[in-house]
Amino acid sequence: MLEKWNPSVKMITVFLCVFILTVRNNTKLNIIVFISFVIGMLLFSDVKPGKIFAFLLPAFIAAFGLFIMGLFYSRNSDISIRTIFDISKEQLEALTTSGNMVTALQLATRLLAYAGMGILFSLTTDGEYFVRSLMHQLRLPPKFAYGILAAFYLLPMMRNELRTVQTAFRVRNMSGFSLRPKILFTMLVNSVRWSESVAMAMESKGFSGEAERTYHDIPKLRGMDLALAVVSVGVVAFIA
Amino acid sequence: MQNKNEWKLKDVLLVAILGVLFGVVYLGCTYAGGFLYGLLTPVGLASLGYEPFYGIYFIAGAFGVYILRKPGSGIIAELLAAILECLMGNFFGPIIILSGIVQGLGFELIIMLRKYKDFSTAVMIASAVLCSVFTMIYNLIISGYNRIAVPVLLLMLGVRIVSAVLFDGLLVPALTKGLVKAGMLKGYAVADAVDTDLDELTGIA
Repeated sequence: MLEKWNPSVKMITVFLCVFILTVRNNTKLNIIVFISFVIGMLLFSDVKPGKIFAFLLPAFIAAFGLFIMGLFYSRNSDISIRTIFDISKEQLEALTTSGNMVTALQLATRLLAYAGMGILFSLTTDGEYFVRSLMHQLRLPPKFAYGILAAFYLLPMMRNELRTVQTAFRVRNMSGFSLRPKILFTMLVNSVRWSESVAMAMESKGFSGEAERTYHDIPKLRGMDLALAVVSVGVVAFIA
Repeated sequence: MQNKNEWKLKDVLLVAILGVLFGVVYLGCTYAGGFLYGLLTPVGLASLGYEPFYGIYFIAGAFGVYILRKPGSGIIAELLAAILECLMGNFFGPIIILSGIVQGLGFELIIMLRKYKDFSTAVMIASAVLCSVFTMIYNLIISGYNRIAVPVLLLMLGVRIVSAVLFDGLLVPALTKGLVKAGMLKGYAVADAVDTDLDELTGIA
């Protein structure tokens, strides 16, 4: 089950695959990687297909945009087109056989392959398990690990607060656009206050940030985790 | 003064919470970014649609290094923000963490060379520009932008630089100084520095 794959090992596997895909720059390989990661997710995880689709949709839109960009604006291209609406038949033929097409496909499929790996990680990794694994396998100091978790669990509160601040501006007939310096400033003031009170709360409960502490559950590194990593990297490195 | 460079829990929390805050703010912008992206897709310039918002990607690192002013604060701030963004769920998953390291390093490099003592407007603008260039080099390699025509890349880099300079070179120092004036950042390195500036301005020092 992919949910049980040690998150640190899973993350490093993704990094290695990204580097290999970047170096090999092979359209066929990109497609194979993308499809196998999605199928792997469908077969070996509890993720619902609908959820995978919801994450895939923006990835496909991004890949399509990149595809058109590669098609129109490849380096050393002698074809000049301004928009997809005024491509003539001859141009379309020239395009599909040109180097632009090769580049466009390389760019778009590479993005999809990255997305396949990213989605697999995002959907099969529990956030808290990930951070605890970073602490035990990759030596992230507890101060940072628990700091990240505390901030993460403030997320819903922060979303509400931003909405409240935006509404407060709108009722006074001012723009509630989130990038307005006034709104950012209000949110920054809240953030500083939160960080101080959460730090105080954690310290008053005895949190010292030292590594010598007890842990209720330590994510373990098993042979299976490494085997899965070796297989994934091996397949990406040597297939096709 | 040996523990001046050590991270206190409240430093970690401040940086992490800012990471979450800008993650939330950024989500609001993805609608605008997505709209621009869609609008620019038919003319083959889709990726340009996200460039105006690049400054917000770098903002966690910019705030981190500007407020804390200790070695590694930009990179660590950006790294924490990237881990948090990864936790919030994203189709790039942990790849965000790689870009986070590049962004943090790009922003902190010049400040590092100035030994974390010079946070003038010129240094902040230069950092924003260098960070844009660094991330573009990252894109050339990882996103395959090295296959895209140079004029298009220059256009993208230009928009990215303008965004980074506005958000990180100018807005971050302005907002932080506002926080200091409001008495919010007592005990942080930036408060001491800004207070001296204010004293000099008003001639009290």
